[in-house]
Amino acid sequence: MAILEKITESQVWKSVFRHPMPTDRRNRTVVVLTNFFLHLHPVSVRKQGIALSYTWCMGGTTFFLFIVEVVTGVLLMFYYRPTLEHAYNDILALRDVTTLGILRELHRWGAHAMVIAVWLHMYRVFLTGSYKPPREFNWVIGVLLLVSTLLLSFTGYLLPWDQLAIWAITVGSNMARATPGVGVEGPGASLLKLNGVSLITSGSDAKFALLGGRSVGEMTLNRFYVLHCVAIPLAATLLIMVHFWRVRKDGGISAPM
Amino acid sequence: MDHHPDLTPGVMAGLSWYYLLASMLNAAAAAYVAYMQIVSEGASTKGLAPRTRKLPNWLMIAFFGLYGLATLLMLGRGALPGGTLVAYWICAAANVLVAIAAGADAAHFAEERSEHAAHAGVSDAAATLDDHIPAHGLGKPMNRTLWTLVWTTAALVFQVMGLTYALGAEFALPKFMRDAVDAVSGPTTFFVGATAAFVLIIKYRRLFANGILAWGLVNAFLMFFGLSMTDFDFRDIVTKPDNVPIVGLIVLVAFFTWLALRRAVINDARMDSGLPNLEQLEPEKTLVWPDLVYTELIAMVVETIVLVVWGIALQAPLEQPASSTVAPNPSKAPWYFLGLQEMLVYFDPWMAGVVLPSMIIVGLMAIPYIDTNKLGNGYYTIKQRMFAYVTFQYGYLVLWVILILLGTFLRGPNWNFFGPYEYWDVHKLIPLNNVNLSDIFWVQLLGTAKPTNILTRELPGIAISLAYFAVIPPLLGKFFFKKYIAESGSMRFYVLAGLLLFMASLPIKMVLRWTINLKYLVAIPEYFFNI
Repeated sequence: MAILEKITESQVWKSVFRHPMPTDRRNRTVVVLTNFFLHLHPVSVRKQGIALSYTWCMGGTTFFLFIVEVVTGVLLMFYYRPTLEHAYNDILALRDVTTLGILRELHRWGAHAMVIAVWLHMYRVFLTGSYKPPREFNWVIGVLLLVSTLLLSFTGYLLPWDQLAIWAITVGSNMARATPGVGVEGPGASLLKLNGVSLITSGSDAKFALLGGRSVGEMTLNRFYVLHCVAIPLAATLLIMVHFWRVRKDGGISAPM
Repeated sequence: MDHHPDLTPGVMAGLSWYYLLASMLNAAAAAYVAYMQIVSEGASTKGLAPRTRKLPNWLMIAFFGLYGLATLLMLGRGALPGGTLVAYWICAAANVLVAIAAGADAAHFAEERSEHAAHAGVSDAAATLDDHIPAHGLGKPMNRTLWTLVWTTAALVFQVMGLTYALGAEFALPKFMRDAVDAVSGPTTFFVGATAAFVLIIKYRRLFANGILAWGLVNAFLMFFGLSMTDFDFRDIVTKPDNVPIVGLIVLVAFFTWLALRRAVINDARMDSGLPNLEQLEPEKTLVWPDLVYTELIAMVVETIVLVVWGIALQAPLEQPASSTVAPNPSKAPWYFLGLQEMLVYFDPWMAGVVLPSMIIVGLMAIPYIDTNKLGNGYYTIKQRMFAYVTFQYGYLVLWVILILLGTFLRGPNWNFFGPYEYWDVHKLIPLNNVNLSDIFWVQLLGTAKPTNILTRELPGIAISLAYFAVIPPLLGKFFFKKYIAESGSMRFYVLAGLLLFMASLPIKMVLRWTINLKYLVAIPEYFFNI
C-alpha cells in the first residue's frame, strides 16, 4: 500500500490526475469535468435516460465499433497494398501468415455489427420520439452518419479484391449509370447534347466518376481505398463530433421532455 | 435435387449442442417462473405479503457444478476418449434436473397454497410476492404453476431432441414438409404474409407485449431453425459467413421491436389511467461517475468479447481472386443493400437505385420537420403517435428488413425466387409474361396497334403517374389530414404526402405485378425512362 500511496502522491501522477480518487461526491464531479475523454458527458444524467431497457446502448455501441474499426483499420493498412498485383495476396497472407490472424475478422464483423447498431440506434431514437424539438437537427446529422456508415461499409467491401468484392461493387455501382441526367443510361441523359454530340457518355458519366473507369478496375480500387481510409472517415469524424456536441447542447440524452 | 447429404456427423453434433442450449434456455425460463419474484415494470408491490419461495441453493450448485465438470471434460477430451459424449450427457442431466425441479416445486407451491386457502376458509389466499404482479395494462397475472410446467415440458422436448442427435439418430425434416413449405413460398406470400403479420402485431399489441407469448414465439423460432438446419440448402445459405450478421439482425430487431412495443403498451395503459409513464417514474438524476461510466465500460468489455469470439469462430469470407470475365450467379450487393436490389424486380435502376434511395434519405431527414405531434417525446407510446409509429415501423420492418431477408435468403441465380429448402438451380426457368400498360391499354383494351408517337403511346401511364402525385394529395388533405394541415400548414402536408406516395409506390407496383403482370406504367426505353 505504501508503494501505491507513493505513486498517487508523486508529481507525475498528480500532473495527470488533478484530484483524488473519485470516491466522494465532489471528486466524482471533478473527475468528469477535468478529464478530456469523460467530459463528453455531463456530471449527472437522468436515471431513466440511462436505463438499458429504455436506451438500448446502441449509440454508444456504434461509436465504440467505429473506434474498433479505426484501430483495426490502421493496423490492416500496414499489411495491405491497394493494387491489382498485391491486394488479394495481401489479404490471403493476412489470413494464412500473420500471427493472431483475426485482424480482418474483427474489422469485417465489426463493420457488419456497426451497420446493425446504427439501425437499432435510429430505431430507438424514433420509437421514443427523441428526434422531436429541440433535437430535430441532430436527427438530420444522424441520418448523414447512417449514410456515412453505409458508404464506409460499401467502399470497404471492394478492398479484398475477390469475386465477392468486385461483383457486389459492380451491382451497386451499376445504379450510378442510371442516375437521371448524369448517368449514361439514366433518363434525360441522351437529351443533353451540344451540337449533336452527347455530353454524357460512358466515359464521362456518374458511374465513371465513381469507378474511375468504365468498369471496376485498378482505379476503382484506388478510389475506394482513399474514400474508405481517408475521405469518409474524416467526414464521419466531423459529423460524430457535431452529433455528440449537439446531444449535450440540445438538452442532454433522451428522456421525457 | 439431393446433391448433398442433409445430415453429416458434424451437423448432428452441432444440432445436439444447439438443442442443449434451447433446453437450457427453457429450463432457465421454468426456474424463473417457478422461483423468482416477477414484478413487471411500474407495478406496485405495496400491501403484498412477503414471498416464501426462492431458488434452492442445492439446485444452483448442482447446475453449475455439472456444467463445470462438463467443461473440464471438454478441455481434457484429447486424453479422454468419449469425453465429449460424457460431457454432453452431464450437461443434459443438469438441464433436465433444473427443469424437473422447477416443475415439481411449482406444483408443490400450488398445492400448499390451495391447502392454505382451504384452511383459511377463503376461496383464494391473499396475494403475496409469490404471485405474478403484471404491469398495468397487461391483463391478469399468469398462472405460474401452469407456465412453469409448460416451459419444463419445452426444456424436456428440446433435450430429448438433442440427445437423439447425440446418439446418432438421423432425423431430418420430412421431405414432404419441406416441399410443402417451398411450394407455398414465393415473393407474394412472403411479402403479403409479412404485411399481414405486421398488421396483426399492431392490432393485437397487448397480446404480443405479454412475455408468455413472446417466449412461445422464441421457442417456435428455435424449433423452426433447428429443424430447418437439417436441410442442406437451407444450411448452405444461412451459414455463409457474410449472412450470419443477418441472422443476428433478425434476433436483435425482433427483440427490440418487442421491448419497445411492450413499453409502449404499458405506457399507453398507464397514461389512460392518469398514471405517470414508465420513463417518468424515476425523475431524479444520478452521477455519471460511477453509474454511466461503469455501464459503458461493461458494454465495451462485452462487445469486445463478442467480436473476438465471433472473429475466432468465423473466418471472414475470401473467394477466388477477382475476375471481370466470370460473373457469379447470383451477383449480390452487400447485404444491407439487398432491399434496394430487391426493388430492381419492380423498378428500373434509376428508380430503385437512385430516386427511391434518395427519397429514403430525404424522407428520414424530413421526419422531425413533418412530424409536428408534440406528444411522445422521450417515452415509448403508440397511441399518442399512431400514424408516425405505424408508418415508420412498416417502412423499416417490412419494406427494409423483410426485403433484405428476401433478397439474402430467398433470391438465387438470376434473382429467381427459391423456397427456403430449395436447391439453387441455375437453370430454373420462371416464365416472364409481364406487359407494359401501353400494351394493356392500346392492344388488349382498345384492340388497336400501339401509336408510333412515344407520348401518345405512353399517355395512359403518364396520366396515371401524374394523377398519382397531383390528385391523391389534395384528396388525402381533404379527407384525412384536415387537422394536420390546419396545425402544421399545407407546405408540410405536401412534403409529407409526396414522401408517403414514394413509399407507397413500391407495394403498389408489387401488387400490380402480381395481379395484372404489369411491367412498366410508363415505358420509354428510348430515353431510359421507365416507371
